Amino acid sequence: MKTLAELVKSATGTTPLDCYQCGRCSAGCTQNVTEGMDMGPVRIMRLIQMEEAFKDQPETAAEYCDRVLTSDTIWMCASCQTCTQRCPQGIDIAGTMDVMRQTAIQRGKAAKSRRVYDIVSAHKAFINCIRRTGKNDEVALVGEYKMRTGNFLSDMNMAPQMMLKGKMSPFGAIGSALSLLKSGPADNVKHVFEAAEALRKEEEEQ
Amino acid sequence: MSRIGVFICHCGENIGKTVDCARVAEEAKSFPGVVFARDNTYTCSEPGQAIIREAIKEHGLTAVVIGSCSPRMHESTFRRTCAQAGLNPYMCEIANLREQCSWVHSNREEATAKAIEIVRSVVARVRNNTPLDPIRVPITKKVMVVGGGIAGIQCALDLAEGGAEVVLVERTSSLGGHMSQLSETFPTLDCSQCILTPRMVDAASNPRIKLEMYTEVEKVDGYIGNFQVTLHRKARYVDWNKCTGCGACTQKCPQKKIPSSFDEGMSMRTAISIPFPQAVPSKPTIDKDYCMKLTTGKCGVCSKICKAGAIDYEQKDEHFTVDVGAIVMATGFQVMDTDKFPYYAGGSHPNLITGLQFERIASASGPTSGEIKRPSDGKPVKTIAFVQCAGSRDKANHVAYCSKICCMYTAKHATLFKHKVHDGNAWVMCMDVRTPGKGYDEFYRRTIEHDGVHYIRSRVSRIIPDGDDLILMVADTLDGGKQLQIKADMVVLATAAVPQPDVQKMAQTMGIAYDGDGWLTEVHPKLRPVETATAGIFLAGACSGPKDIPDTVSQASAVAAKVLGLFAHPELQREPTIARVNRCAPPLQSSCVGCFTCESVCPYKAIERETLRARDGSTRQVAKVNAGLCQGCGTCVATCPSKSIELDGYTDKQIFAALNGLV
Repeated sequence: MKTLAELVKSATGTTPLDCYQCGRCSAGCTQNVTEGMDMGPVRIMRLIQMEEAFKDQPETAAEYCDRVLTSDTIWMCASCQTCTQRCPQGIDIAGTMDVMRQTAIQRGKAAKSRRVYDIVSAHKAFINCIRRTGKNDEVALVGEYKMRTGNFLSDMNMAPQMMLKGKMSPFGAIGSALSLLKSGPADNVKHVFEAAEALRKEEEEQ
Repeated sequence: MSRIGVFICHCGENIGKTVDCARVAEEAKSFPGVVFARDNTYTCSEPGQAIIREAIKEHGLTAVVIGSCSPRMHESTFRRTCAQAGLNPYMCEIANLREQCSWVHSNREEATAKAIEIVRSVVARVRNNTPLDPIRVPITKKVMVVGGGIAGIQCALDLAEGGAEVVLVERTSSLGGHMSQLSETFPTLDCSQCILTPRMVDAASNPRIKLEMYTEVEKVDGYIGNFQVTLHRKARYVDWNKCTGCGACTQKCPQKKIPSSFDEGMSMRTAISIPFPQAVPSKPTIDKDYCMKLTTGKCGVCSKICKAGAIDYEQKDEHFTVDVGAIVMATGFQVMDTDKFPYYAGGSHPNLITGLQFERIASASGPTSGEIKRPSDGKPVKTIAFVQCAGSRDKANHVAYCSKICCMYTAKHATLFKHKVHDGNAWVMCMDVRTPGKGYDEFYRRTIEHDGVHYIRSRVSRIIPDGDDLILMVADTLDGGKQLQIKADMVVLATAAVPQPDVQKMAQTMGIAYDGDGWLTEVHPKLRPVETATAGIFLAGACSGPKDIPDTVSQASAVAAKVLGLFAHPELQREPTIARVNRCAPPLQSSCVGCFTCESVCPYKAIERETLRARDGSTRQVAKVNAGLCQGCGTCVATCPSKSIELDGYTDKQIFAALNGLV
């Protein structure tokens, strides 16, 4: 199994092993402040380094790997890229978080906390929406998200305002259903998903 | 009759804001002897100095008082100004109206009154000043460099290049010092021997450099320009003039089990030996503590094998004196031994080594021919751990200072290890990594980013032996202090750099200072980094504190420039403000009673004895001040029970007049 650092290297072309722990990413992280990550991105970098360092001691390495993949932090990241932009060592930190999220899902390690479950649900609702219609549809997205989380009433108070500002149509549900009937799943998008799936399988076999 | 000029400086607002300078100048006109007084905004400026020069000429001034800043600041400036106008510089005195008046007072009226009193006092003093002439001392244009490491070699080469005669004293039998033990040098990784040995050869073959090998400094007498140094040349038991350096003796010597100090005890040498193959001069010496012929009288193999007949068991130690004008201390440093660290595997585990020992292991000419094998069983090392700050930055147990070179040499060691053992694992335990220097941080980052060395920010608490392996107890402080145990085949301690153990004794005989850690101290750490408090003795390299090679070489060249600057003068001029034991003639007599209390209190060893002959032929010994050594501190003046010593420029008459001026 590839180490996290190797996965990041192949996905982003940069490596967390270059991190010298200055903490600039964490000092300026928008989510670190508002969402209260369980550890800053700087610690994620360190843990990835230590997994690599203990490569020849699989048990210790796995411990470090699990601490990264089961953390809330990787899910709290909003991919705003501020850290990547500021990193003095040129590490793609936001990209690293992406890789961590993918790996956590693939290895079934994602954190079991409520807030991570909500975030993962949003991710799944979004990607399913794209898979079905080939585009992002707010009503369909919100619908699936609510179904998955069972949290029907949260954020409801925002709906009237969004409608007033034209962000969401009150007839959105009908519109969505119509467009679904009309176009069906976009063929081109289907190809993209198939290609991605094939690539993943290929990687797994390696 | 004195004709005194008084110049009161406003120093911008520094004095002018608190002291009414115009009033001080006006008052000064009424003091006895004053013929001219005025105030000025900036007296030290070029126009301000021009006013002084013109006044001296116009009013025929015989003495000048400047009311300004501290004499430490501008006394030399104003004395030069007076000299330019033809006045003896020692007829110029400073009244300190800034540090001792305006800066420490706020009430303008009272400060002005005090300023007037200060000026009155200095005017009274200057009326008793006498013109003084600088003391002229001849210079011996030869310099002694103590220590044949890179500092001494570089300094000697630069001095010889500049035309000076050099005596290079080295206590071992080869030049090279610690640098010759190193495998490669940071940050460029060029081979240490390759860049050093040509310089060693240059130093040995330079006609202006005389090598004094296997020789130590015993005693230093004299003063700047005129030192007499007693050297002690230890018996080598080999006549180097006859020896061809063939090395046959070193191979046949039956006494083969002596730990080699060049290899830091990691290989064995014979009783007659050349320290390392590239040694300069490449001549053997016999270790009298181990040689069977010298200890038991039975052997003599080397004498039989030597075709040149160079072996001389009867050779004796020699003591001789050299006259030099300057001395350069380039005595270097040592590294702490592992036995200072009982908490690290008892301090004596065979696979627990110092950085210098690792240099020998990594060196192609070392005990393992450059292969990284551990000492206990010769097994190739796969996992290595480096422990930084072993002893350094540990004021409770060892030394408080940072040894400066360890971060870089540890990074270099780890890099060398990874270059030699591709599948190996290298760990570095550090507190901080300090890499200020050209290309240094880049080198350190390359160690991590390119060579994959793992750094853990932690101080190792203990090292536990596990058979031949060692287990390090650390805490990753970048991961909330998580405890880790790292198992390594070999551990390298970056032990603290410490002064040579006997350099303090030498410093005492020379009268130069050293600090609490034992490092020789410079006059000023920033502005006079290579000079000692004793004029004519200079410091190069690590004898004044841990230094890397670039810094050491820079200092060595800096010292060479200082010494050549000294030698550029036909003779030395020194401040004439020195002590003088009174004499009256004829016949030559003195009120000195010859108690020599002054001799015992003088910190500069400047008191000598002189024999005076009375008219009736009787003689007696009195004190005499050596003008070359006296620094004018005045301790003898205060001590003399018969009031026979005066400090020129600070005579009793001047001091009493100044005091009377105040009351």
